[in-house]
Amino acid sequence: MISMLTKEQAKIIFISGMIFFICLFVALIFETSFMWLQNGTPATIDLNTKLGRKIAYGKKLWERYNCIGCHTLIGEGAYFAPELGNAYLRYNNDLTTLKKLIEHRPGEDVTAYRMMPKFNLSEFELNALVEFLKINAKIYQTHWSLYKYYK
Amino acid sequence: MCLKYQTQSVAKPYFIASIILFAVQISFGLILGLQYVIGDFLFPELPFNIIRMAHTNTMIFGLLFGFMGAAYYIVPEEAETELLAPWLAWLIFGLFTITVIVTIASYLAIPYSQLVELTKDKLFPTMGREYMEQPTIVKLAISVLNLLFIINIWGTTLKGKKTGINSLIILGLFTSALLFLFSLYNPTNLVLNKFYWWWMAHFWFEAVWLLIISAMLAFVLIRITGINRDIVEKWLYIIATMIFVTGFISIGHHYYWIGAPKYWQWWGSAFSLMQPIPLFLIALFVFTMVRKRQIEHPNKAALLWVTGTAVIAFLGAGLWGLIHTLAPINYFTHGTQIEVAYTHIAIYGAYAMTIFMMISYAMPTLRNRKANNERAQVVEMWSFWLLTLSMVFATIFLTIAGVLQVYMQRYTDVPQPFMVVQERIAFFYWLREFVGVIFLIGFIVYVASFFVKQHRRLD
Repeated sequence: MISMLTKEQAKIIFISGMIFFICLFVALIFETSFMWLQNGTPATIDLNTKLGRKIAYGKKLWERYNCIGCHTLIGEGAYFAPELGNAYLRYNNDLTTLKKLIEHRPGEDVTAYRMMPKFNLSEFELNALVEFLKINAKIYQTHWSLYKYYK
Repeated sequence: MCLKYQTQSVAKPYFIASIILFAVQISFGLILGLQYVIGDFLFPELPFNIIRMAHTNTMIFGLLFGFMGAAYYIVPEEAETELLAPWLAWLIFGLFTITVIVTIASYLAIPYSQLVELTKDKLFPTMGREYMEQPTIVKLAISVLNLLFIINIWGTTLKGKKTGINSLIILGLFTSALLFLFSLYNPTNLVLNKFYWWWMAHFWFEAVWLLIISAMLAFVLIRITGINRDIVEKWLYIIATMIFVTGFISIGHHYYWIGAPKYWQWWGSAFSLMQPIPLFLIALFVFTMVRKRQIEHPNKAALLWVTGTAVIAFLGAGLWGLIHTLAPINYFTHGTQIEVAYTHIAIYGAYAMTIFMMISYAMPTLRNRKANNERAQVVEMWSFWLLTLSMVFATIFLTIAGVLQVYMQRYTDVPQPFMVVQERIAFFYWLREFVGVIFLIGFIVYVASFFVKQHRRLD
């Protein structure tokens, strides 16, 4: 089949194919963006509220301590430590337990299988971080509902 | 002289840097593998997340060095003219090397949160995301160096001959540099953040870098098989077409669970199903060209790398990708060791091996000979088999670990917690670490092949 083509024809196929699929891709991205504009992006936060700013700060802390270097968040990240997109659901919507887990893990006294660094977060930082995890659980629950099984 | 154009010699330091970064990457990989089974290894000085980002970042930097070296070697020879500004190539090399060394050293030397503060990340936060952990200032530096590099090679083609290989490699490198700018975009909303994060990660690994390696393969194939350029470039255009046809929309397979509209599951699955096609075409192309070769090039090692990369890229990037990119399967495999297995074989097969192929073809000419002596080539072929087979086995072990993980943690009626499952599949992590050591030995053999001299014949 390829022997029937000339190089010039192949080049034209390449350019037209590229343009067509860029257009299709852009159309899909616009469609998604419009849907989000109309219905609101999932897990949107309002930076004008106190809670919104807290969540935004929580995300900054998430990045600052490079949590993605061990954990996954909705399945993306490193695969070394448990998924955190569903952490809020796994601990029965209990933020206090989550906060305790971040600061006091098993392994400080006894040797655990894998170790998590101690970050010495303040109460305010802990609150922001768990609020960030809480809002992500909403995306997790509606889209990748393995939380029933995935501990 | 074996070099057609003197200025091609600037490729040499890039290739050497790429090889050195590969060594660093393997060492970090072995530490990570050990941390998988001995959880407190090097803890708390070097926790997993630090080594992991050093591992992935050296991978990216090493591949960029390899691609740049390949471009500096290919573009002048194809354009039939000297490089626009060899001094600029050396300057970029120096600055890029410093950037890379400082970045990796700072990861290891100070805690990441301190690095975030030290580099004033809060003015323009971009750090702390997978593959994009570099400080913002480093990202900007890389972008500027990329721009200078593109100017240098683009300018070279403008004053010389225009060929298909050159157009496609420059298209690949230019879009690759452009996509890197998405690492500077960090929306607060996690859905948007993930949505655009993939624009760099997906398009790099599953579209534009494939374009670059196809052009590299075409360049080497013309020279070692003696097949007419028109035929090779025709294949190259067809492969490039299929890369873009399947590559753009298949970004949908990253949008299944992150909060994007549901229709991405259909688009993503349909186009993921087609994604092995370009890789199959690459394999078909390489084997057709090699079978119909007009000349017997003395560089047998390069020929082995060419055919090897075609096979492993198809198996790794093509088939291993397909086994988990369809939405119903990905529902279970997303975020498990299956993805670890896939990334290792795909990046090794499609990118690392192509750079080894390029080095294998170009390095002898950069050292003023047409091909290495036979003994050196035999040693290099040994390293090919050691590296490739150990990576194949590492992939198999990780895939078994992944299947068990999916079953025990998600598929069965009595799912077990993550850490319990990790302990139960530790046996396969040990096997992976074992073949990892063999991979390192393969790499040492590879480096040794550069220093093997021919025995003096006893006449």
